[in-house]
Amino acid sequence: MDRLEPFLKVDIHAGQHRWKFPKTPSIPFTVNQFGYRCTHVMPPSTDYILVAGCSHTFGEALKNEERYVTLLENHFQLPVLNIGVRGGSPNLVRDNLLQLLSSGYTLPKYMIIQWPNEYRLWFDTWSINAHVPVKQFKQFYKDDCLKNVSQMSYNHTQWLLKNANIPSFQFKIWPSENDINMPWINIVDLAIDGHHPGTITNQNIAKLVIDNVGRL
Amino acid sequence: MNFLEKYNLPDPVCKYKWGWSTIRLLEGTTNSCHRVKSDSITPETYANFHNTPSKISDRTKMLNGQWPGNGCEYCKDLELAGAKSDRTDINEGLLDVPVNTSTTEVHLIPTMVEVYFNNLCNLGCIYCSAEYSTVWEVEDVKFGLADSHTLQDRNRAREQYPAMLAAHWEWLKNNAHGIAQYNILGGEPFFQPEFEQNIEFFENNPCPDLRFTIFSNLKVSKDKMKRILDKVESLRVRKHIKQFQIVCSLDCWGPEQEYIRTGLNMKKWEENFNILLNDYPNFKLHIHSTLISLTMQTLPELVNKVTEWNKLRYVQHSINFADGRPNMHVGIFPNGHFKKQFKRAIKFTDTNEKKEWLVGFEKRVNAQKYDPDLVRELKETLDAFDKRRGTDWRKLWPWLDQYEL
Repeated sequence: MDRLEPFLKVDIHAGQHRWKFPKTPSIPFTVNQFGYRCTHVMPPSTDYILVAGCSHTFGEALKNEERYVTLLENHFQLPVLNIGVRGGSPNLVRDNLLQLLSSGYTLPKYMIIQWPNEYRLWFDTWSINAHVPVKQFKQFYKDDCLKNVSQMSYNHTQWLLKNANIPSFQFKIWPSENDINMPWINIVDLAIDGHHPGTITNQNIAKLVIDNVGRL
Repeated sequence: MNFLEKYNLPDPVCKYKWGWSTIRLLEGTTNSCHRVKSDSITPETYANFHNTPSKISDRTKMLNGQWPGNGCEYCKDLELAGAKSDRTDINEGLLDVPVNTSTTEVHLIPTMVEVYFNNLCNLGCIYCSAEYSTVWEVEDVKFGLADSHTLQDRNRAREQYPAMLAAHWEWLKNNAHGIAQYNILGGEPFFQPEFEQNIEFFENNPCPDLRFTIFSNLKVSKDKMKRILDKVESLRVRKHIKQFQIVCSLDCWGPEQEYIRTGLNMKKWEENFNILLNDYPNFKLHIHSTLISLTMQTLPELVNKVTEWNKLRYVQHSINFADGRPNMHVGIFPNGHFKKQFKRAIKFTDTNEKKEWLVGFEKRVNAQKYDPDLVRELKETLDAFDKRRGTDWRKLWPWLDQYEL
């Protein structure tokens, strides 16, 4: 590469994939070279919106057109780059922004952040979710270390955005994702996997974002 | 003039111990040389960071002609091996900075202050640690590399950070006029809010005698780097600071360096360094290299690069050992193992001073005992890095892969 990569590579399984669940048609999805579900050149040299988050932003078990990210793109008529990652964590949001700011590529006109659960940690191409019992992640790690790293990641992100003059809208899916006071959205329906936000919830997310962002 | 002669002080008195304080705000520690043991500081004791009980005790011992220990062995060993040390270098005038002292005084005000604000960093150098890098911090927590005491200490330190930062600005407001050398390390300063706050501080509190230095990994976009450096140049032109120096961390050259300084892009580094060389003629440039066994292979290429840059303008080059990582030390291999690499590095060197340094380093390396257990540990450590980071050290250092124990 002539220049630094704009984003961290988060998944080694680039290419075409398909969600398959009983009694429902399978849903195809594509993961790009960096591991994101995004078809745009990353990043474009024109104005664009950057959206970071976890699987809720990735659009787990949703068709492309059902995701809130696609709905935002239709509304704002600007490329919306989706760097949402399955199992994504607050530190990954910070580290991806740090990577973009280090790279010299065009910065986004606006950034939207869906803050992942604060008990998650991401390093390289692997994630750790402390909700899943992992031997070394006992209560202390969960309550002190993971939360601490995540809150510091949140603070760093605020500074990086401010310093780079990137306006942002930030929200969470559940109020319990973190202790930080920010808008949140209730899940009113589920995707075909039975776990992630469904199409109506994604429409509600898009509305929340649009109402708060205003005109770009 | 030699510091000891000037103040009629005995060996092994060290100018670092007298005039220098390093402060790690996030960690809540201080020392008067990076080789020695740290003391804890809190927001309440912050103002006395240069006169902690152990610093006073060390100074007293030195005035009595004794090496104080606690890490001073680094220089003691180098000097016993006949090499130059950090102590001899600073005493002979490496930093032309005044120190306010007398033949007996041990309670002092620092004139050289070095600050580590926090650990926000975009690299995960293999010899670094969580105290200095958020990449390491995440790796540490995720893989359970640190024990619970360390993690608890780190959490406590983080909680007191805002108060430590406030104590620092307060101390600086009262003492900045007396500082001759002020360094900011990291983390990566170009991404730390405190670096820009410090620029703002000098904007509002001119220190015309102060030399301002930052240590950077140069992994920053060209535009951001220039925006910040233009502000610093403006401070210098208006005499709000006396001088600005940027110390660019680089240990060797090529893909080996990209492995060692995980996350670094060499091409980007060189682009940014060329901007510094050509666009900021009034800034002092300095390359600082950390020497481990893995850097030896392409250290000569870096030395050669520095020699080339020196044809354009003076670029200082300093080297030190990463002593915190025993299994990465150059001296754990048999005597003469890196003879060829030292010879090539010395051949490419353009100054006698650096030749002397490299000869001294080679002497110290050869004075160390071959330690096959540490070599074995090094290979295991690198395997663990590869597993966590998805890298492959065996491709870059086939000689080590094939090294038989």
